[in-house]
Amino acid sequence: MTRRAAGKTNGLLLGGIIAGVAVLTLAGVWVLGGFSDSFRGIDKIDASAYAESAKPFQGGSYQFEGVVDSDLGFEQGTGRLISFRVSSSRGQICLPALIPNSLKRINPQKGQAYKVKVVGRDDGLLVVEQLEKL
Amino acid sequence: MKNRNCLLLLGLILILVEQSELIGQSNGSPPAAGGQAQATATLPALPNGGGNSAGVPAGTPEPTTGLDGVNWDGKSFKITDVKIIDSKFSAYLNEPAISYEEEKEYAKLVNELLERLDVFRIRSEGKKLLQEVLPLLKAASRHPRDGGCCRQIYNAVGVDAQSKDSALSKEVRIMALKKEIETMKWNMSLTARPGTMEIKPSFNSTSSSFEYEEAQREKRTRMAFMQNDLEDKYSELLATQNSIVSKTDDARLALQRMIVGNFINKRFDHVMIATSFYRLLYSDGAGEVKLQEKIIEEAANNAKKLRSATSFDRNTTTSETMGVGTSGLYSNRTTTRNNSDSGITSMLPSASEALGAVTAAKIKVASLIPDTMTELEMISQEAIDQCNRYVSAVRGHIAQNELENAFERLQEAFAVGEQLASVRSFPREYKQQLWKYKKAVKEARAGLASKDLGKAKLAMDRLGQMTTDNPFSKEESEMGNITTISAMHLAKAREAATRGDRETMNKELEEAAKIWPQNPALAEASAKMLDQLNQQVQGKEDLRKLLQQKNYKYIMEEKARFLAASSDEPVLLEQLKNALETQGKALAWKARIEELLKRGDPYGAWEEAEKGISEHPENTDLMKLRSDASVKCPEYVDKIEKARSAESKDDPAAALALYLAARQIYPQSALARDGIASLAKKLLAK
Repeated sequence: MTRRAAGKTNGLLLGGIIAGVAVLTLAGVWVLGGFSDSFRGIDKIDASAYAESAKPFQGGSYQFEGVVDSDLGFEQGTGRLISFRVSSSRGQICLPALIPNSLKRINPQKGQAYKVKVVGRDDGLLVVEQLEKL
Repeated sequence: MKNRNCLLLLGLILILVEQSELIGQSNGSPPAAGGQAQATATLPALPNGGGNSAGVPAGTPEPTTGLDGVNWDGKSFKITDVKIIDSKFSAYLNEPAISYEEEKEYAKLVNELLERLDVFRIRSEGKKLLQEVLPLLKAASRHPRDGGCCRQIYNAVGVDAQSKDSALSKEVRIMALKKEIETMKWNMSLTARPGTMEIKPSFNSTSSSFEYEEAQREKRTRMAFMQNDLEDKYSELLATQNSIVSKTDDARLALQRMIVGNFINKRFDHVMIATSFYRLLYSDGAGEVKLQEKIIEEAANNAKKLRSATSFDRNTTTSETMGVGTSGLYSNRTTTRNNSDSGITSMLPSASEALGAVTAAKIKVASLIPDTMTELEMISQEAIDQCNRYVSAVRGHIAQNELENAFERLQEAFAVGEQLASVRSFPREYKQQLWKYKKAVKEARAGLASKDLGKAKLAMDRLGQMTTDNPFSKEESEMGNITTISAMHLAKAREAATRGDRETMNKELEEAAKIWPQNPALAEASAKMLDQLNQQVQGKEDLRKLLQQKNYKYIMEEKARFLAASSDEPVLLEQLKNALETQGKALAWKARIEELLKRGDPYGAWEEAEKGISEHPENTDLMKLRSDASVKCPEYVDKIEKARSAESKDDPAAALALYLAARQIYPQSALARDGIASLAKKLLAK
């Protein structure tokens, strides 16, 4: 049962609160990447664990931030294999990642920092889905 | 003639040598009655083969000049080869010094005797010479040097005188017997003649016929008795005549026997004296030596001893005739006795055999005795002359320091004339010099016989200093050959040992030992070779084991030994070479790794060690070095090993990540580079 005398004041207050929350939510979404961030919700890869065994990472999507370490090779029908130096609990670890031909317009250079979204292949190799230069 | 003389002398010497080998039976033949002091009762046997060990010689020997040697049955034989002569000669060389004065004195007596018993003086003075020479002979017989030889001659002369005295007395008896025989014959003829008073038969009176018969019977009986007495006298006469001849012959034979005995005993001086006396005493001074017949007769008697007949013929036939001849009645009685044995068998076979041997020996000796006294004398004189010449030659050789020739000549002189003054009075100092020489020669010969060439060489060197006529020049060159041939066999044995051919090695060592058993190099060399061979065998075994274990490090350390051991086995040698090559490469790896470690690059060292071990997985040094390096770069090693592990688990992505991590730690890592490249290719290919 709501009290009328206090009804107008309570309504404003409520409205303000709701607006505030919405603003905060939107801000938060924006802060977190906004409604347009594809990395949102993607787990960061545990590079140390990957180095121990890559197979558990089959089929999963991961992200990491790393610096291009070296070009490991290119295959026409497959893509380019790049290693990224990634920080981990055990220090810097190089993660190999395949940049498929579909992303051929991307040409990372050594020393460049990227945010990478990868998916694990059936043999555990990380295949790059998205690259954002940092 | 000279050859015959040489043979005779040689035979004499050999007879004396073999005297001890005579079958030890006395001949048993009694010396002739009266000839007591004469030669040996047993004459020695003729030996079979001189000093030859080959045995009985066959055929006629072919003597060379003098006493240098005789070829008998194709073999050369020297007088000095006989061992008994050699041992007597050794005793001679070592006998104490004799009294030269005594020898000289005796020699003077002997020469005096021979001088006075000159053949023409004997001819002119005859038995009167005995009065002159007998005192000298007596003096010589009493001399201490005589040894009974002149005494024998003296006694023989005495026996001859006795026999002649006995003959004289018997001559007297013979005369008496002849007279008696004549008397008896006269008596018999008278008795046989019819007497005037003899009873004559009357045809009318039977009693007168009976008396006549009685008288005739009596007459016949008397004649028979007279006949018997006559026969007895004749027998006595014959026996007495025979005994004279027999005694004279016996004395002569006894002297001959003594001469021959001295001849056989090489007392040639006394042969000369005795033959001179023989010439003086008997008219056949240069005549036949009848001793041979006597010896053969004695031998035949010996042969009959102890044998008996199985059948006998002792027939006695008597025939008697009586009649009337121109001189009256006569009576002849003839008795014939047969006394023959047949079917002779031996009663004591062994004794008969012994006597048979003695008989044979005597017959052989008889064949050696010269036929005449002249020959005996001549041979004796020749022996004396030859001996004196030899002794002079010895002195000459010694003066020129030719001891070998001096030794041989003296030995030959001794063999012939050991009793002669020239040999007996040979100076002791020279004899001692030759004795020392002989000992050295014996030593050298002993060394040669036992093939101890070292000993022989030493002895020969000593001889070379002692004498200028080295008797071993031939042996020395032979020794040179022996040492060379032995060395050749040893070399072949060594070569076989290096090849591992034990059979050939043993055979060559055996040949070397046969030729020169005392070779000082032989024992040492054979020990070394055997050792080497054993080492070689052992070496091969060790090498095979080590190759099996792949312990190339130890093989490398002992490569010299193993190379020597396997040199004759190509397959093993090839394996060894491969092992050494492998180890060489491993050592190169090791050197590089150690260098990297020294330079502070454990990563590189570890990688090199890894590579080295992949090529040489058995090499423990590389493993150790790898371990040392890994201690210094554990993270890197961990990454690589994990990467390899991920690869093996078919986790290429993880492996790639790990190689990348390793490369991060050691950017020059070839292992990481290769791993990354291969994994990248693999991952890109999917």
